[in-house]
Amino acid sequence: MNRKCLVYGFWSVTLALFVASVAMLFLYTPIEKTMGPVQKIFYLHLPIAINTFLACFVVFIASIGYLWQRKMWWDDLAFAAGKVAVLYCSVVLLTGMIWGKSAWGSWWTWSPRLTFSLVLWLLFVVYLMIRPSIDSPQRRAMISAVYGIVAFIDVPFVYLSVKLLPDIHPASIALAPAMKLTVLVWFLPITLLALGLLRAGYLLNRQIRTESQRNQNMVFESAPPASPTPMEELA
Amino acid sequence: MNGEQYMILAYVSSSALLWGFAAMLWWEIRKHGPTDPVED
Repeated sequence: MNRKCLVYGFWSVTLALFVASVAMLFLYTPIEKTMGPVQKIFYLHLPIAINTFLACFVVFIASIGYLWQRKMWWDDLAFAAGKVAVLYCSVVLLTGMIWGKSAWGSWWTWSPRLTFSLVLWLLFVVYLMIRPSIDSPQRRAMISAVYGIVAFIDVPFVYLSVKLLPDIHPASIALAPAMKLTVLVWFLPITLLALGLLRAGYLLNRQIRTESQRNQNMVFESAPPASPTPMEELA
Repeated sequence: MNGEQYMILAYVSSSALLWGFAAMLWWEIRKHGPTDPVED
């Protein structure tokens, strides 16, 4: 079995699990009595939030890896994880806002958990935005690594804010066994999707870097030999 | 909007974001061709 079959198989399984999770949500999962159908947003919201933390953690580890070994593949990995972190954090904010509008009557409230989550999203959006503004790959990797480590500091604040500070966001939700099973099932496609996006993003970054290096080498090879300076001509 | 409509809105918009990003990445990889190993 070649690598292409494995990749197609992986994405087919991920998509099938996603469709099966949606079907389970409508056909199997009971409706919560107090909140009604809108509570079902939770089954997507929680796995996405946990995977956001994991993506930020990969940025953190890859940034340390780059500063330690100065290998460019660490930077490719950190950049790919940064994109996944922004994507997943966007979905966390989106699903949270829709839940909030239905449950609290407001799209947004400046509670500690929501504010720290928005700060996390902004930190990683800036992480992606500063990279194209730095020309030198080594300098870009160095600055991004330092920034990635600093940006990760917000993750514990997001996690602990709801436990340590008064917050409208629920700290924990009691679930019936069928609801717990639904959450566990939803973790599968969401985590597989994050892994697939991370791998695809890493390969894309590596490919773009390879092309960039080849183009630079071609420019150096095709450049005309330097003309002698006036002093060399005299000599 | 009622609770069920909010729930459907959340799942449809999130799925569009997640799978839209995956499709964009797939298209970018196809555009750049196969990946060869590169020396650091």
